[in-house]
Amino acid sequence: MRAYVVRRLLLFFPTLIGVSLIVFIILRIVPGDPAFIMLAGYEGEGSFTQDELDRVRRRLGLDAPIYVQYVKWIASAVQLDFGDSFFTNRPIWEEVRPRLPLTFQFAFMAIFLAIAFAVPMGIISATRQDTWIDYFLRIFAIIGLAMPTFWVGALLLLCLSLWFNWFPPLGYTAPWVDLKTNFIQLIFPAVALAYSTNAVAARMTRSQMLEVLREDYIRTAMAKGLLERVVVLRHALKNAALPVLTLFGVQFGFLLGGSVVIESVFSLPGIGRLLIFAINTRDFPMVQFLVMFIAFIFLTVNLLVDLLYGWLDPRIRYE
Amino acid sequence: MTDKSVETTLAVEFGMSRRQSLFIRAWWLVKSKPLGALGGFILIFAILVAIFAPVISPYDPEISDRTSRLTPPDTKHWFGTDHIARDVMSRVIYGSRVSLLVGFIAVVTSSVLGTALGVASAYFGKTLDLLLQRVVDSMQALPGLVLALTLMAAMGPSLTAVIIAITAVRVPGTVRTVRSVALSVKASQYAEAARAVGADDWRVMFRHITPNCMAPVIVVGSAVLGGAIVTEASLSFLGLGVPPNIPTWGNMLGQAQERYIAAGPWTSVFPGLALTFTAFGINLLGDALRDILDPRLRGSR
Repeated sequence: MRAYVVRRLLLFFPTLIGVSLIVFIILRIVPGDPAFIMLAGYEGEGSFTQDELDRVRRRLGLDAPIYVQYVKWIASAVQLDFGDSFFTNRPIWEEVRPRLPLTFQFAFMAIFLAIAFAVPMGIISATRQDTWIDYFLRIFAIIGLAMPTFWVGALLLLCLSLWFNWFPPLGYTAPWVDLKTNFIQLIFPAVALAYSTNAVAARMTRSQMLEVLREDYIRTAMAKGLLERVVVLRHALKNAALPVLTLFGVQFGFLLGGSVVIESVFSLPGIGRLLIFAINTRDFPMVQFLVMFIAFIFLTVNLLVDLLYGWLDPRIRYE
Repeated sequence: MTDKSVETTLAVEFGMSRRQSLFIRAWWLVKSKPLGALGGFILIFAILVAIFAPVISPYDPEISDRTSRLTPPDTKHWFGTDHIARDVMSRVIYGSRVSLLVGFIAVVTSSVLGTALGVASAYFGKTLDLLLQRVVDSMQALPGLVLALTLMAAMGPSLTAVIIAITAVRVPGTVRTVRSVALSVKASQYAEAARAVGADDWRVMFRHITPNCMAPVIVVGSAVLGGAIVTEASLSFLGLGVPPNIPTWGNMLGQAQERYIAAGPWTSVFPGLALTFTAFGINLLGDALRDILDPRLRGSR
């Protein structure tokens, strides 16, 4: 197990450095002169003085050679100094921190909802293969794959307002302040976000279960006269659930991307909306930090999922 | 799809001759993969709507009829009118143009780039392979939409920027898939035989390895098409994609969301339905293509 952990960690850090390089290249080199865009906009419509331009360049460190800029950025990031927001002039981390509980709580709610429904759906579909309920669940899943997350969210809001003449209260209340309001605020965006992840996971659970159910040891268990319920839940599910687990590592990235849009639909003050705001105000230091932060979370979740997978399935770590 | 290996796969798997007409093949698809054929029809329908948009749309999508703002669907405006009294149906019809255009360009660019890089990575190996795979890893460490948003932040909103951003999101996946197939082809006996009779690197890569990677490229391509259309809509919805004056499904949904969704649900429902319906068709077609072309996945559903 230790060798496996070391091997997996050895992949983690080069990838993190790779991401930081890519983000740096996109935000510092692609725009040509970021300082100019920050002041004048993409069409060059804003007006400013040469003096202002020089000040922004100095503040962003754009006057130094590009590799010096990169090393400086990494060096201060390692010391947890992420610089100031260009828009509010406050430290970036202070802008981001209060928004974290919302995004995390809401991502975990979505993951939980997706699993809680996907696994039973997949099991029912597989054990009742080619019956009406199997078809119904598969169609439900394939529609979930086709509907864009943000439109699901928009429709939820629309239905609530048309049928119940009611909107969930906007904004975010922390769970430790008012649990009920918190739940009402987050459940609808979480449902919207969970739907497509649920669809992917349900399909995967179904196909894995179908494969496992054909194995010899399942036939043996059935032949012993065990109840179908026991065979499915105790014998088959254990092996079928493992690949579904790795799926959630990948899907977590999709959730992070989806939350950016969903937070805008439901006006939730999370890091996704902060990213959109930062892009709209051309706050490059903030965009740079948020994108790196999201990549860091995504890589960490994937690392944890892989380690968990190796721990649960000995075949993986000895590969 | 006139590529040899794809045709051979079809021919071998289903006892079809290469000379059989397109019509017979289409009929075979309908009979053996009804859902895939349905998906194909939906996609063809969407393409026809996009091509003939000026002929079939009842009004000019840009011109507003000031007397009828946010009117519900009726016999005059089947899908109703939006907040500045433009005909929603005409805008949905024109919206298909941008969606499909972005989707197909993204498919072509990501397939070409992805195949070239994937084959080169597998064939030359060593430093090039190591380097390329680390870049692919790093790009995939960013959630697709977040990578696209970062690129949009750097380039500013425009149609070209949207296409570049979506291509960048989709290339790494294609490279990875092509590389794994190309590795196994490279190790095969016929690739070795080709080298033995004196074929140079380019010949082996283009004539022997690349054609055998086409089946997975087509399968990945269908996923790229569906994904690109949804990503374009998401970017435009956020106001960071195609400029707002161009009618696209994402722009329409974004503008409806801002203020008018409760006052005029049809301004959101119809473009959303068009988007979902198109993506649904592409998913069905993609599933069928995967079943037919990717032997490793066959029977796994």
